[in-house]
Amino acid sequence: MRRDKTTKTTIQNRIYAISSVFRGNISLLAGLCILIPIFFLGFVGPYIFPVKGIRLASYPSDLPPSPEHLLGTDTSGRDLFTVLLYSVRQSLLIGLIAGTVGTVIGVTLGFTAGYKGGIIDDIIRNVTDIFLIIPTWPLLVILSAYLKSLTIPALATLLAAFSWPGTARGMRSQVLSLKERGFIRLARISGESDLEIIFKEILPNMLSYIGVMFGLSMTGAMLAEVGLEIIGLGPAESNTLGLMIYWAIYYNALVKRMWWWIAPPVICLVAIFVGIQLLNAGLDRLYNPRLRR
Amino acid sequence: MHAGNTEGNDLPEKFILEAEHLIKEFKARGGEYFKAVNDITFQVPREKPTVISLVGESGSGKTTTGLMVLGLLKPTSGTVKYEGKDIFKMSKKEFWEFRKNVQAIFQDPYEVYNPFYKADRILKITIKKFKLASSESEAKKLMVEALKDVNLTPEEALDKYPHQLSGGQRQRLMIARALLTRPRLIVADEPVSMVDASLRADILNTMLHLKKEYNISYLFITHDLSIAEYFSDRIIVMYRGVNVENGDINEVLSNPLHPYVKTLIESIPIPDPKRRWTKKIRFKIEDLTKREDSSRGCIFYSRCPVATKICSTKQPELVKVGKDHFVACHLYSK
Amino acid sequence: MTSKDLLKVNNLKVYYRSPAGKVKAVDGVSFTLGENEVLGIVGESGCGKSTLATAILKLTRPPCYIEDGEVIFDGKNLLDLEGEDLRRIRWKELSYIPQGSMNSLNPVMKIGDQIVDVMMAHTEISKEEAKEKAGKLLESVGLPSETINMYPHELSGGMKQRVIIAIATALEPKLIVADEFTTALDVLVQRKVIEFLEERRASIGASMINITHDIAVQAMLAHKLAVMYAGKIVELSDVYTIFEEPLHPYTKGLIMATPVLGEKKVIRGIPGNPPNLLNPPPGCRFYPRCTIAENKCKHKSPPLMKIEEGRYVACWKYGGE
Repeated sequence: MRRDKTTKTTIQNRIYAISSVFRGNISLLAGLCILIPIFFLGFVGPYIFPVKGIRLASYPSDLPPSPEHLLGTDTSGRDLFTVLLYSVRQSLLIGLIAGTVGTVIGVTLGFTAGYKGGIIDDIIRNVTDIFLIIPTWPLLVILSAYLKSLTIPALATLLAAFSWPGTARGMRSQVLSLKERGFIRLARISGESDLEIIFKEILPNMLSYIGVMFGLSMTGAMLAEVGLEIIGLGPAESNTLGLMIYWAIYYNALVKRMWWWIAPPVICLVAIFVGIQLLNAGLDRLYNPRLRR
Repeated sequence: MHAGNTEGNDLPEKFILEAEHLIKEFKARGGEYFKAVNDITFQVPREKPTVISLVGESGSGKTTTGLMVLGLLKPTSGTVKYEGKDIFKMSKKEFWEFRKNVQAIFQDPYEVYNPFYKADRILKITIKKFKLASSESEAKKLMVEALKDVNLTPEEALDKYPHQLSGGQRQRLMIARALLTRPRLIVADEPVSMVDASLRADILNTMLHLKKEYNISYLFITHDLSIAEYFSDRIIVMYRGVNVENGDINEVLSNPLHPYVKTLIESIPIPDPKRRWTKKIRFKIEDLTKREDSSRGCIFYSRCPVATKICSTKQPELVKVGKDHFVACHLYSK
Repeated sequence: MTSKDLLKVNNLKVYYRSPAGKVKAVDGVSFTLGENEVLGIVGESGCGKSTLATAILKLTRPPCYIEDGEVIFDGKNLLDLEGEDLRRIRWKELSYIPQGSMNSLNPVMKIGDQIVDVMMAHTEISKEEAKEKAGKLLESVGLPSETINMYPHELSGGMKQRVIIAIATALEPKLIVADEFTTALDVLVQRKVIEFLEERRASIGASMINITHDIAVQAMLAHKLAVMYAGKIVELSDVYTIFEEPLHPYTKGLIMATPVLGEKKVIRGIPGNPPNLLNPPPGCRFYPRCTIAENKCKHKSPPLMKIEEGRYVACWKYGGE
């Protein structure tokens, strides 16, 4: 590592600083390499690529991929590439909303329970346990079937409601163990207030944990959505990856050897999951100064 | 130091800190309550810097007492008074003054640092919270001065993460932090137990030097009687939460009276093979898993080699047996 | 004492492989141990004493490896033995009380069963016989016979440690290696446990290597004392002589740093830090902290030299080229 920084320009310094974050951190790099294109595809894609034929019967059905239709068309005559772009966005949104809401609730409740202790802890813990006991999947199925007009935001909220207990439980035990650590005592002796201790002492040590819980919540929600769609439940008004898979199965895409219909959504889902895991591993490495070189 | 009653002719401002009849109860795994600290009373005088040692083995309640004195743990009953005022009833401003003047050094030099931040953050936070400097350069000056007091150079201690410092360096940095506010009293909980022998002496000598230089008193919590003798002016020996003997360090150690204290002294290994243990020690070491009910009789009854009938039924009170020497044992009760 | 050496360690070198290079944790250690003798190895953290213990018993695991040297136990080089041969010696002739061992008792097995297990694994003995022996064993360390049916979590620290002593001496080995076996115990319990261990050891006539950083405990227990610093033995002699007249400046420093109850002596530490064992300096490893160092010490590392019978020191001040 050359130390003569005086010969470098500020831009070079900046590049160096940013690249040092990735030094030896393959997970972070790989994770970002996978996720950035997908997010790009979902959120920027519809504005860049020519959007066409999202309406039914816009084109002839079951066309294989061609320069005009990158992923061909489906049985309803829609351009599959367009469908994919919109589906990726919707699925990501579901995951992000459900993940964020679930994590925020879980972190807040888990934190409060762990730090405050006493009656508050008992109450929160019991509520969390009740939610944990409820079998998520059957309940989702029942609710989806019952609430015929389930919108995307409603679905995301429902999924969040099932993901927060796990996070809360995990956060609570993390806080409990951190609470007794020497540096918390020292922080109190040094005059830090409870709020400062929570945000400045405890929270930074939990960022990677929260990241992991968020990743789990997000992927869990996305997976639940796919599961619901495949069995015919869940909202049908917006395009999601799950819905795309559903229609592919409904119209026997596999039998018709239309791999260009069923493969892309599956690959996208797998990529999102793997990307999130890699990103978490990379962030964990980043946040833990002891693991940094 | 008086064994019990401190009311009377003493004006409250005669003491920096008073602990009065402190009791702390915890719930054991079985569901029953037990007293980790059972009626502890002592005072830290204001007239000159004093070192009071709280000596005991594991389970004696010494750390719990320290936590209560620091205001980190609320006693089940009893009071801790700073300059005559109950610290758990203070206003925010008064409590801030208390924190400024009563600081702490903890045992584990690995644990007290938040691994997320650099080690010198503990200095910066103290400076900020107690408004010790009005500018960054002033703060830096304060830090360098404090480091000098504990024999650390800025190069080795500043701008480093905790895992980049050695155990001895971390301990010294912790002491430097405690000095920043120029406290009147430092509660030191086993400050050298986790430090190598060759570094221990220097840290203790540094602390003694600081006592003279800055007029700091210490509440020194330890299990090591030899270090307590080296370091302190007065000693309080605790066993299972009870103060069994206390007084001037020389008086107590040259003439220990309580059977527990006597046994303790006899059991300390001595770095001199000529003084090897020749006979077996009379002491039952069993049943530590069951906490005896201390309300019936002396806390040391089940393991005392010279216990008599009254010891199992009545709890002994602290009685004066010398100029500055008190013991709680029926052998010496009037 | 040299008539029949039970254990002879020759120039043992134990290193650790690290991304930055080889860490020379034990760098050329030699000593002998006779029958029915207690050798204390004293040193601070990082001096290599625990690594030495694992090497003697051939228990090193990567990244730790034995670079060189011999460990001759009862005429055989332990480092040459493998598999079944090694297993036969372990526990029957050579036993080990590792650091923190009282916490390694199987929490879901009764104490009695754990002792019986060890005995049946290493000898031809019936279960009933083993059970009877286990009871007697526990009594010999002062534990009541009911302990046989108790679980580890029901015992106190001192009781668990005595169970460990019982297990380690169950097959009456010739050599016991104990690493910090009283460190986590309270003063009173420590004294009792030392008493029990010494009694048990003497009754089976075993030798012992007692490793601890506490020189006071060594003074109470050891016959011979070896002082280790930065991977080497710097002084080795019988325990009375070492305390009466310590030769090496580090030994002197250690003794001066320990307060003695009843004596109003001033204690002094040793300024500085131990050297980095990744690239130890060419000269004497104690040089930077030594008060009597000379120029020679900076460049050449003194070997362990014999001053008189049974007395060795590694310091240029006492001669040698």
